[in-house]
Amino acid sequence: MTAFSADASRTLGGPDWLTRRRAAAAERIADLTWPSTAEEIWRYSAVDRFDPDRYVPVPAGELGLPGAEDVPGGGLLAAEAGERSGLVVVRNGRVVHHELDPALEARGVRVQGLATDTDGIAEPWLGRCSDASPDAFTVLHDAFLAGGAFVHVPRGVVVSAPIVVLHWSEGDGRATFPHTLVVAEEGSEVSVVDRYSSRGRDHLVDAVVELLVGDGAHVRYLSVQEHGPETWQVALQRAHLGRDAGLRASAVALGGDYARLRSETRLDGPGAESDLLAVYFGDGHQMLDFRTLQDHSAPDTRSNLLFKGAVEDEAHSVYSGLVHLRPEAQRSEAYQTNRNLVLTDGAGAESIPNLEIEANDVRCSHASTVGPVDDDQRYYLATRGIPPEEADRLIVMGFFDDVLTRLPVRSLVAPLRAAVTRKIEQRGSVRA
Amino acid sequence: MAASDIDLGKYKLGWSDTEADYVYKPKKGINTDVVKDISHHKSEPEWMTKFRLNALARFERKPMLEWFARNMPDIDFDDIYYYIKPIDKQVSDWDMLPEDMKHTYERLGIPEAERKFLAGVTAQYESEVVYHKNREDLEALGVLFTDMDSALRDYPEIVQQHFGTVIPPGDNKFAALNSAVWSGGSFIYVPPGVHVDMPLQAYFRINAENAGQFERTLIIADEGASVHYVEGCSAPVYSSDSLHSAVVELIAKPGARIRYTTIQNWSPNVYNLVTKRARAEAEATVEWIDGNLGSKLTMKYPAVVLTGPKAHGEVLSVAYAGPGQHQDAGAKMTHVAPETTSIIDSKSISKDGGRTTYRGLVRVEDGAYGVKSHVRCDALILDEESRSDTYPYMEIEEQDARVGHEATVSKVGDDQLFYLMSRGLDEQQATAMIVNGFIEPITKTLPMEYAVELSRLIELNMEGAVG
Repeated sequence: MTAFSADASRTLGGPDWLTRRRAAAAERIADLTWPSTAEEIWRYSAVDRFDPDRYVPVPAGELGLPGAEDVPGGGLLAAEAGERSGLVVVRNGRVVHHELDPALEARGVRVQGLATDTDGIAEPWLGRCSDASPDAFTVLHDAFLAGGAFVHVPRGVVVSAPIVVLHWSEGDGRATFPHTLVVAEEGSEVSVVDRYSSRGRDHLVDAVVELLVGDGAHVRYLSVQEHGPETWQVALQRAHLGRDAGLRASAVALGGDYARLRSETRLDGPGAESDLLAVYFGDGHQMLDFRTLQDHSAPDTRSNLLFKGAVEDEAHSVYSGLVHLRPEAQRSEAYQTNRNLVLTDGAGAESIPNLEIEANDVRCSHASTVGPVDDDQRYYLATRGIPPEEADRLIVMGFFDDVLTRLPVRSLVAPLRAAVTRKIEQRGSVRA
Repeated sequence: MAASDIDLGKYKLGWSDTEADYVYKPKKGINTDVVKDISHHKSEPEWMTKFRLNALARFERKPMLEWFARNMPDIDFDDIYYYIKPIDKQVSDWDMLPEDMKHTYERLGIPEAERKFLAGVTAQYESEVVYHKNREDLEALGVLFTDMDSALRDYPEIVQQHFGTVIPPGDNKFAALNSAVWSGGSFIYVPPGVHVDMPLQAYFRINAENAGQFERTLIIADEGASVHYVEGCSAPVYSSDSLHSAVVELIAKPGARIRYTTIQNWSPNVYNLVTKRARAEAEATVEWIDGNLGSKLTMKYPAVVLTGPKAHGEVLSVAYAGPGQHQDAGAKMTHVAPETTSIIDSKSISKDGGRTTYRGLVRVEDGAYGVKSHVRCDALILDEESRSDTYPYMEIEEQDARVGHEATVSKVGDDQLFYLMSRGLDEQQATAMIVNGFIEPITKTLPMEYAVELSRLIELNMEGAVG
């Protein structure tokens, strides 16, 4: 625990309001107890293998200086996003470059780094979501939050092309703390893409995404995770939705050694609607771990969740989700579906779709399945002369395609389909 | 008294007879001396005394699970009687029963049930089996049906060989408690190839205030045999809480078939914490049919461990939670052997502030290829005060396993109500009819008297608070 000290936290600098927030969290680190799989929310996880002594937070000297945000970047990944209205490049948890369509800037839209927010515009928003659902890793995150991306869309403004945030982390034995804060004020619309990649031995990414969707606002959000094979990710993504707000959030998870995403949505305002999608594919010894919460605390709210995953080799996946309809959530609907394909002997999937229903005038259902590729489908393709390996690839792609085609950012559907295909095709080469 | 005269109203079974004539009534609480005393009173063999003491040590060592503790914050293990013996000797003739006990059973409808073709009756009053009758033709077939204490005396080899093999004393805190202080319960052994056509039946009651009931049931169906056992409960209402913590072990040897039916209707102050588990060997079938209507809190997850190829397990359950009740029930299927299959079908209804929980686990071990399992949970919530939870765990360690789960939670459909009311039913009748239709997949598997009783109990529970 030595590396995550209050002293280390103090060296990160930045505006006063951010330093104060870090210091408050750093004080709590000494008292933290690391979670274990004995806790229900960590059951089946790899947290028992977590050893904080293996990591050091990226020291201030290795971060870009706050203010020096003129480094252009993004390269191929940014190009893949196609048309976009803004771009933020985050390196090791601090924004190193940001740009925005001047027309939107003129209408008051802001895209910038937290570490350069000397006016404290983000201050009232930062932590609104994550403070409502803390755990040991969010405390650590708050204590070492070096910067992070801040997207603010004022009332009634519509941002049509997506704002792309590229998170790049690197370093052996380093821990980084990427943060994305999206604030969509009343009646606004915005699409945001978070794209994570990392490199390095024993790399820890402790990320937080906060989506604040105001009354009548609509947010489309896509996160793509392509971490290196030795990266540990422990991430929280949490959204709060106001009256008649809409959120379409989706996740594509492909990388990491152990990659956990806690995805939570709270429907605070009557008429709010959320639609949550995910695709995940694990191979080798990967473990992909999802914990979802659909928390309905207002009447006439609606949520829908579809998570689809496949595992092969020795990979494992965990899906554990809760639909919570509070007593005030009358006339609400909530649906939850998790489907898993287990492609090889040795791989495994855990699926726990939970319901806690405290209101009666509701419609709720959940379904989950775990199973191998359907023999009938394989047989059908074989009768059409398609060899078994090829047939399996087609079936898996077909299995994912109904989620991929529904991803909220159209321009990324084709590149992501290609990324998933690449990963499936590695199969043969890994085994040979 | 004809069956139709028996009133099955909400609290109508909640009378209590005078608390007289208890032969042995030890102090409250549990310790080594209490356990030794129980074993001594029963003149048990030494291995059972050791078994009990070993279990007591485990009970004391085991921490209370966090979600157990959350469900029952006020349980006090030192405020419970662990053993009460009502009369000295068992009777084999109904007429020899003490008058007040007979009265109790008459209100429960036992004589009526017996006049019908039920194969045998073992009624448990307090902690000891007091009345027991075995049909002669069963004896002729070699079927052993007796209470657990007699079985330990009369068939020591069979008991010692199987007792505690499906549910070891260290399995969980309450199984450990039962293993330490158990008393009564049923023992059945069905020899190879024998089919018992009629359901075997037993009634259980708790009567003394704070009397814990820790019965222990062991059913063994030898190769190719089949048996259906029916257990029903009803208890008087008392002001302070009673603890009921049974252990039920079923062993279905290759090709055997066991169906175990429970309709639980404890009075609403009873904690009902039961460990039920079956072992299904090759090509055997085990079915748990589980109705939970009574008690303050029930926590019960009938399990089948499928240890032989092509074994099949089923759990069908109905839960009804009314005011102040929490029915935390579910099922567990552990697929150890290849080509094993299982079905879990759970229906629950909560009303007037009641809470129903489905908590289940389907586990497929590595190497258990060709497994199929399907879990279905449906919940009806009838008013704003009530709630329902579903926690279905699936742990799949084998690639070639097909496991599915689906669940729905809803209220009674407006269009269904409208349809029935347009046909002249009032809202209460219509709701009761819809609820009975909802649980019909379970009731149709019950012996007829039980199906009628269950439907009637649900209707009575529905009364008054609708509309």
